[in-house]
Amino acid sequence: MSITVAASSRFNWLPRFGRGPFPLYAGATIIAFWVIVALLTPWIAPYDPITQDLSQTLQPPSLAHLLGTDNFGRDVLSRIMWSSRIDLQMGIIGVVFPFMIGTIVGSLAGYFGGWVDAVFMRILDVVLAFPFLVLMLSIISILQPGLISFYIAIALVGWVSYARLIRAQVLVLKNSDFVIAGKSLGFSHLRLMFKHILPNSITASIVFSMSDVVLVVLAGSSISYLGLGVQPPTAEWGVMIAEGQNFISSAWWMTTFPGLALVLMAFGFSLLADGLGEKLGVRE
Amino acid sequence: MTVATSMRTISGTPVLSVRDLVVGAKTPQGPRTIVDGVSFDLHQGQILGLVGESGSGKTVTCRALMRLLPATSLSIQSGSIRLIDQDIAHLPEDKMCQLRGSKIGMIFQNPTSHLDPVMRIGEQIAESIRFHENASRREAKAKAVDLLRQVGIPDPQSRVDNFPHEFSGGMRQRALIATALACNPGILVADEPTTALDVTVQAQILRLLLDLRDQRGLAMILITHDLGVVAQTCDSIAVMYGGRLAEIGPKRALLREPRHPYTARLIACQPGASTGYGLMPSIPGQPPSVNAFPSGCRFHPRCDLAIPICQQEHPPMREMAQDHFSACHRAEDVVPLRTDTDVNQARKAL
Repeated sequence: MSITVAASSRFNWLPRFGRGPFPLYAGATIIAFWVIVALLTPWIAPYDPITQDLSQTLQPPSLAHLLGTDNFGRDVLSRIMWSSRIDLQMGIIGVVFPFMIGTIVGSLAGYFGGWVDAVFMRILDVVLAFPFLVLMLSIISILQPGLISFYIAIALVGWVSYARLIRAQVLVLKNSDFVIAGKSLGFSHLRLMFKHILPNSITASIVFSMSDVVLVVLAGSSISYLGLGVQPPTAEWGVMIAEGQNFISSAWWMTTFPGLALVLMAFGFSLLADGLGEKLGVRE
Repeated sequence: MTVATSMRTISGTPVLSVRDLVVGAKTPQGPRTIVDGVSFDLHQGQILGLVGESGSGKTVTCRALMRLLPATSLSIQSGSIRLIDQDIAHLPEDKMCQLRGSKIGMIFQNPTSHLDPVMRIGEQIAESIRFHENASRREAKAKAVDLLRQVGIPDPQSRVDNFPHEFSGGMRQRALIATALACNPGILVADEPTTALDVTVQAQILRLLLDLRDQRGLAMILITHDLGVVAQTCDSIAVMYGGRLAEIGPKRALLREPRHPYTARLIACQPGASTGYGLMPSIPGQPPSVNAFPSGCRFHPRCDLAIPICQQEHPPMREMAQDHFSACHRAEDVVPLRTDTDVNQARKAL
């Protein structure tokens, strides 16, 4: 027994991967890094992300261009920095709207049940029946390629996960004792739903939204990579990877660094989701 | 029914008057009657104890009074519930919402689960004040502090910002009482308010309810299966069996001279000095199931006074003494069972 205690205390200084608050702090640090980069980019980016300099094409990483240049002579580091603004924005807007729609739909369906529930759940089944990216792509092609279409598509598709999470919680909570106590005080349905049931059921959705950010950023990049999201010459990691793939044998830095940036941001949000889930006691 | 003129112990018009209340349930086996023809009056300042075994319909009766029956399974089939001057048995839900909390309040058995775990105690009390009286945030909070003081929470000024998990069991029940009384309802329905509490706290909460009755002239319905609690607090007692009222009357008369065999046996089942360390007396047989209520008097299969008519006819409520009603064909023959020998003799006779 004493040996185990000694062993565990000796390694206490090590970050505890996978549990405890470490993932939370690590994730928060990475995301904070990207937020600071995104905010300061206009002042600290060494070059303009769009202006071409055909005398400097396909330069490997050097002191002048830390991460090299692309086929139009644009600085890869500056483009990565500028696109962090777009990718963060995609992650946030692409989660906030599905979160709100899903929460409202899930609350209504769970609380009122009956035909309200039936209608919303059948719509949800239809959305779920299609693969996520296929549905996103078809909605964006019906509209027109671009960031706004991406936001509309993600709002139309992404709400289902939140609706299901919230509905399951509301179904349990709507017959809970404190809701009955609220009814005995004469509270209206809306008040019970949004002031008592929702605060008790939203934790799981908040944790899920953090891991959802990862999916949304990746989806945004994938769709931009496919040419339906952010349009060139605007800098966006997916766009940069798409542009760089033709030069992958001669200019590896064009695809590798945007890819690493994307992975780092996704990793940050994943850690944050894990840590938050641990902290709030949610098991996914 | 003739109970209409009962409860003259406290004069004036009743604040709550229930007549022939019938609550039906939809079950997979078909419709069932859960509460059948319950009538009683409740006056200002009066505490009515509603006693009965589990499943006798006490809680359903009270949920019906609050109009809080789960709409999908239970509904009021007939009868009237007069709250002050209007019949609320079929009042529309939005009108009912205005009455709940402001005219009639309710407290529950398990205070821990009946408080919102993520909301501060003060906010929960203030919420109904703001909702019913359109008070400002500041007024409502001041009132919440005052209410916490009235229900005996020490240092209410700082306790008002606590969450429910920071309160002890007894304090949570006090807080729940404060939320129920926030908008000064004239009637408080208490569904086994002390069952989840330990005995010393139980006595404190009952004391508090009595004090509140005296201060505010509150009328109260106290559901319990503890005759000891009833004896300490109530003015009158209604005994329910199998969804029907068996007996209703003033506390003293009913406990001393029960006029229904079920009441008599129930009193004999109370642990007392005579029980010693022996086996606790019980009533032989099982309480009836809603799916198969016996014909006639629902107590007859377990009753040692049963005669053939008990199997055929449901006994009507008869006034045996002033305000004391019993639904038994042989009400005159019921003798109080006091001692072990009485109980044993009755058991042998069965």
